[in-house]
Amino acid sequence: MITYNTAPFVEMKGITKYFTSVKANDGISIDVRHGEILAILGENGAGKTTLMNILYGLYTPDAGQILIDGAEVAISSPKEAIQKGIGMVHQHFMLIPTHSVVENIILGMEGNQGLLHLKKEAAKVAQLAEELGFQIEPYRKVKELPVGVQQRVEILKAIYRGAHLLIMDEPTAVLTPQETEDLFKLLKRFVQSGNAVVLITHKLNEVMGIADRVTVLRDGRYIRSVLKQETSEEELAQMMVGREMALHIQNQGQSGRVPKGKAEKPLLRMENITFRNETGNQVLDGLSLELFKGEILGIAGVSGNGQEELAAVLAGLKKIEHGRFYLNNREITNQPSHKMIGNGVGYIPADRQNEGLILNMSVRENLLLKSYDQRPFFTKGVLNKKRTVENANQLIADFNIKAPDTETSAKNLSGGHQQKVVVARELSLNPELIIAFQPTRGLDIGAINYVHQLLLDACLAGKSVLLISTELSEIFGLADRIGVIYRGRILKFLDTKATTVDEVGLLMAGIDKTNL
Amino acid sequence: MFIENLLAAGIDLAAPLLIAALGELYAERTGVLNIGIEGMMLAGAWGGFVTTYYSSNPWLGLVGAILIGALFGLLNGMLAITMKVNQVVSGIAINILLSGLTMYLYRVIFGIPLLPVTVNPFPKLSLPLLGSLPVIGKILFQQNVIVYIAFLMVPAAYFILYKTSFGLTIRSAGEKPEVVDTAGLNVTRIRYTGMIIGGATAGLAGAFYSLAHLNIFANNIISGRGFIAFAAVIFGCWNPLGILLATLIFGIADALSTRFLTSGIQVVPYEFLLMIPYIITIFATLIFSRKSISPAALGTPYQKE
Amino acid sequence: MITVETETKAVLVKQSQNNSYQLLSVICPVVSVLLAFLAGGLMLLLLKINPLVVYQRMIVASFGDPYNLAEMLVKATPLLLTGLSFAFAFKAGLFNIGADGQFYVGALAAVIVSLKLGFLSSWLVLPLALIAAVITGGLFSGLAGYLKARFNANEIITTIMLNYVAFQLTNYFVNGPLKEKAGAYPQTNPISVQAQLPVLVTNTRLHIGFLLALLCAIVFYFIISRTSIGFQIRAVGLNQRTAEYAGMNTKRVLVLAMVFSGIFAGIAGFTEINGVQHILIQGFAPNVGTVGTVIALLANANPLGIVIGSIFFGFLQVGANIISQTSQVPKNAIDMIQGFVVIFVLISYYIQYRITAYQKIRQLKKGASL
Repeated sequence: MITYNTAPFVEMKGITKYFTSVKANDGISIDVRHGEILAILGENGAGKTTLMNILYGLYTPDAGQILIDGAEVAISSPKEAIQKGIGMVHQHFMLIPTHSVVENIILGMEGNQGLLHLKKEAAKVAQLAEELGFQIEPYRKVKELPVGVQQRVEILKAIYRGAHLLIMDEPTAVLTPQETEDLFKLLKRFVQSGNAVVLITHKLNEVMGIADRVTVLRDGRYIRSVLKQETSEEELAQMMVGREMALHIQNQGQSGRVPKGKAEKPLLRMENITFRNETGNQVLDGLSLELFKGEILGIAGVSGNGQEELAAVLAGLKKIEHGRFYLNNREITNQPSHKMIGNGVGYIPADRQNEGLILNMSVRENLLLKSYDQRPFFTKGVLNKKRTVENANQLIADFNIKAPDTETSAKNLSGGHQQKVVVARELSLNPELIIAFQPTRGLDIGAINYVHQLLLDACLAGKSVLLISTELSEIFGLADRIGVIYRGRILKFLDTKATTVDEVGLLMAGIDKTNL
Repeated sequence: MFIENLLAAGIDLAAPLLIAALGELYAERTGVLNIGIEGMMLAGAWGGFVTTYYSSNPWLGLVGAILIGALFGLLNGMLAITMKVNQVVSGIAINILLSGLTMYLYRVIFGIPLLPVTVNPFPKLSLPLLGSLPVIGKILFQQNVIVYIAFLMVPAAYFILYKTSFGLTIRSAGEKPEVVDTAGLNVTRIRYTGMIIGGATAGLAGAFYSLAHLNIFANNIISGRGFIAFAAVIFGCWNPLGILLATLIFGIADALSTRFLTSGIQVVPYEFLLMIPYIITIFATLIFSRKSISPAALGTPYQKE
Repeated sequence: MITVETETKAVLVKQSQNNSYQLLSVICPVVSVLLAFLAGGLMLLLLKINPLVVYQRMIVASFGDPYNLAEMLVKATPLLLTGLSFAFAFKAGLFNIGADGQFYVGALAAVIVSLKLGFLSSWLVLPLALIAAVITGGLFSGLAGYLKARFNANEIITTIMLNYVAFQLTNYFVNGPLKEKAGAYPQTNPISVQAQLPVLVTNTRLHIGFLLALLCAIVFYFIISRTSIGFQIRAVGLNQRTAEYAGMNTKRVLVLAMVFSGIFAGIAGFTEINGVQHILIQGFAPNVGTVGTVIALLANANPLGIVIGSIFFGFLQVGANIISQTSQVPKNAIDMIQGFVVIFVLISYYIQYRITAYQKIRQLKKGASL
């Protein structure tokens, strides 16, 4: 059905885009065919999202053209993109949580001026969903819906407005493997009638799974396009990165984990933790775990099953209602954050920009954050600047942080180096236990490998890591043991070597084959 | 009798607060704070007064007040939305500007009169039939025109916000502007609209003070009531009915303290009674400042990187 | 990616941080001030007054006469302190609009101590009055800080409301318990000679309070950039979430910031009563807090900028007095010009930002085509 010798459906020619600090797109030319699922593959920062944002009218290019079915078009706003049949589902959903499904879908629709006709629209929405093969409740508030359903609302929104080209930005980041399968089925159904899908992704296995063709971008430039059947994951990885590189660091048993007898006491023990959040949901529901000295325990799960709260509780930021936890057999339940830091618990947060760093402060000050009243940096409350400069220089050198000097503002560092600052700071405090929550989110392969190596090295030095991540490749690459978190509990603990991605994937969706 | 008079006076005092607060509601629902509400009310009082003086028509005065309020709403919009000046800063700047500007222009127009310049104020308007109802007739339907306008604005606001597409757009812009942007709408234009509506209604509310409550213009004619209206929005949980309730409470408290003064009953020193509306407002902000009630994107400038 | 500003709180206006554009960052405010005077001049023409004559007289009289020069610093003193007050809270991300009220309660406390203990020697009564002002200003503002920390009560509203409470409180005292013996005007008795701050330059009103204010500016700088609490305050102001993750007690920091902020404003009350007025009159020195706040905003909370700004606004006020005494120009013309200055300087910051952003993109493009 897909033809390659006729005019393409959508074409972007010579697209160039500058922002104040970077050249995001540099003369990129791509095309999409009718009936095709095209994957745009590249590392973080390669320019994929910028390019698609231009196609969707959110940015205007500084050079280049866009053609639809051979005719040149100017798209200067999302409104015009929608008019021309282009729809986009963003990585962070463009939905208003406090509004209902139908209110979200009809927002900004042409021909919907004046009074709201909610009943009529709701019926239309329900029908459209059925045609695509699923059910939807139009009056439910979006914040009450599970993530996979929210994504379907987003897709409905695009198709409701007449999208023939659907752009999806990293759609599977928040889905279980099974939900991903459902999504792919939906997309395949969508393209049957000549529509097209552009999938922005950095996940090679997805590309090989669903795409018909792949276009690779790197550093804002177009590299190559290949048909899926004519390439492989390794070749794609090389194109993405531009050089031979291992996909990920593997834990070959180098961690400091020395198997001991059953009598060994765990470093961290959590018993029956419960936590109810402000909207009344029982987010942690009797969670228990044991982590042993020198090991990397990976907590796998789809985001939203309690990982955030687990991390927050261990960092001392949230208080639990029932349950206790112990570090080295000493109870540390509900101790506040500065006490936890004093206990030797380090924390690499998921959101480095909003939880790990203060972007408008210098590298030196960011490295100082957790030592805000500690010697030798502060004596009797007064700052000893020289010591802080020495500290910063040392850490910058040790961790290879790419910053011109200690006073560089953290916001001027790339994502990977920002994360290095966070990790450097945490490790410099010599923690016994490191909580790493999505430590490589949004980083390119080089940075990911670096962070992974740091974590493994830390274990060699006798530290322990609790790795909470939604990236299975990361979990399988690093962890000695895996605990799958589902609906606020650890469903099962497994030895990494003794399990498979499929088994873990099922557990992530709550399905324990051994209990059936 | 006392209660009747008290409630009637309370409603009379609440009306301008209600008008200004409803306007501020639109602005805040689109995501912008208008601290300049105090200055815009002053500008409206001035504009209404001057227009009425020259046209001898208080209705034209209202129009003048609305236009002036809208003008400065536009200015605040330019500062806070386009120039991304911090919204609190821009509001304060406008308050300072208007405080000096209104008095200076008053001086330019009227010089230094021996007695304060006056205009003919809006008379009380007793509604036919409704005005002669027992008890509630006196309280609700023998009021000033501006009070009736205020009453009507409440259901109008409710209808507009929740039953029209315009209202949905407004509410969405204040919750998550990026969503509105990607839906193809112009967030900037929506926020400007909110700001201008806020300014225009503040102007209208201010005119009440120079054209109905009193019939002069002076520098202290607003005296913090703009900020009370601002607080009423918080107290009323960003909801027209809640705001109605909040402003009624403020108005009645205000009327109560005046009654204590004129009756000569010295339970508490007069100045302490005057503190009452402000203290109530503080308690209101205590109770109602939980994050989950306010528009999520309130006060945060929106920009594409 | 489309972003919503996450760290806007302690960054007032989009300003250029780049050092190579420092010349621009000096030119812009200066040009704005000139434009403000231009706009003011046009308004003066409406009253058929020649602005050039007025401005010339302002400048000559202010700078030519040593008494007026000293007056500039006298007027600058409370502005400097209320400016520091706003700026300090602002560093923590808080908007303390209560400088007017905290100034008043500080003044009230100072005058009470001065009246009741005025018989003591200066070495006792002055420090006591100062301490009283510090405590009341700090507590009054700290109250708003506590409400914010405990209940997340919007500090903009609470501090503004507390202003009006403070006004009524001083009105009560001045009309009641503290009313002057003669009973004619709403003001207190004058304070004794011992309670008056010594004058620095004879035949002027310039008093030690000015030096105290300068000292406060230095203390401000020291606390913010050289102490642990200052570091915590800046962290909380820039990114409260990260500060929490770093283990800081953000609630305590917020309250402390407000307390310090109130202390500066309270000291302003002390300097005004014991240094200049020597009496508390109802409604005295209105808007000292507001103007100080504006100065802090324009200086982006930088203490040196606040010092310079307060002297400039001191000049404006002295000039206002001069021309209103010697010509037909009304005092509120200067209030109006003040307003113009604020608006134009704000606009100039934006223009600055646009120019530098444009230059950066041009550089990128140039670099690419090489």
